[in-house]
Amino acid sequence: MSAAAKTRPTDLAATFEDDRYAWARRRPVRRAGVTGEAVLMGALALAALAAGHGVLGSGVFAVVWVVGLVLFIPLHSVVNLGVRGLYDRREASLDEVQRTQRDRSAAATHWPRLLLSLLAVLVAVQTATGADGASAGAAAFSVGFVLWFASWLTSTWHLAWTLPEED
Amino acid sequence: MGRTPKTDDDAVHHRIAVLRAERGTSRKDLAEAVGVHPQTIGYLERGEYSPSLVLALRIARFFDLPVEAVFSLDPLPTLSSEVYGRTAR
Repeated sequence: MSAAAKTRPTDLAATFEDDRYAWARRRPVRRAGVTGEAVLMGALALAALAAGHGVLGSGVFAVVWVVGLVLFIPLHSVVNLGVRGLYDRREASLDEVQRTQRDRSAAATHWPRLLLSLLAVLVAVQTATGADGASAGAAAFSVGFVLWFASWLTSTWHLAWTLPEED
Repeated sequence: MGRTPKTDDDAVHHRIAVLRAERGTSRKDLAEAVGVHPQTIGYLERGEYSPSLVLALRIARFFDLPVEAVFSLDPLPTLSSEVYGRTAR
């Protein structure tokens, strides 16, 4: 029996391998998805800062965040399909090239992830200790959340940006 | 685990594409037989990835050839030069 036949792909792995989503694996689509997510994260952080400084009302801020997070779902689905879900699948469903690609991106983004996580913690600590007013606290918490969320996404972004074109 | 070659000196030369064409084997069939993703065969054939020892041995076994007939650290001679002593003009 072949090595591949030993493990039956899960539904999740089968979805990521589905040829109907081959369009998402094209490099321009992957890079557009990464750019879209980065812009979205930046916009959410800016909205939070604007709300914290009173430029944006709390109602508008809430709407911007709900719309942004709802937009994130299809955007991240495209990026994740583009990288065949390498960070979401169990190790056994990946071959040696896929594991190498995944590990390479995780290693390449180690310091940026650490930096973003530290910034998120700093913002959280500042929020807990020095935020002046409920809206400023909520805004600072939101910025911290975006930084933490971006740190979680960095490896996937790197992978989606650097994966070679498939044929 | 294999690796991505950083220079030409780092690359592992091979005859996978030639052997596949000769045997009429698709990338998908070879990939299934050796337990990797079909894209991985593409990466190997384009020299974008050097296989692990296990994968190299599996590929050689699939073609029923010794591993040194399929993979080499030096550029492999073409079949025409090896079998008939002809060189490219």
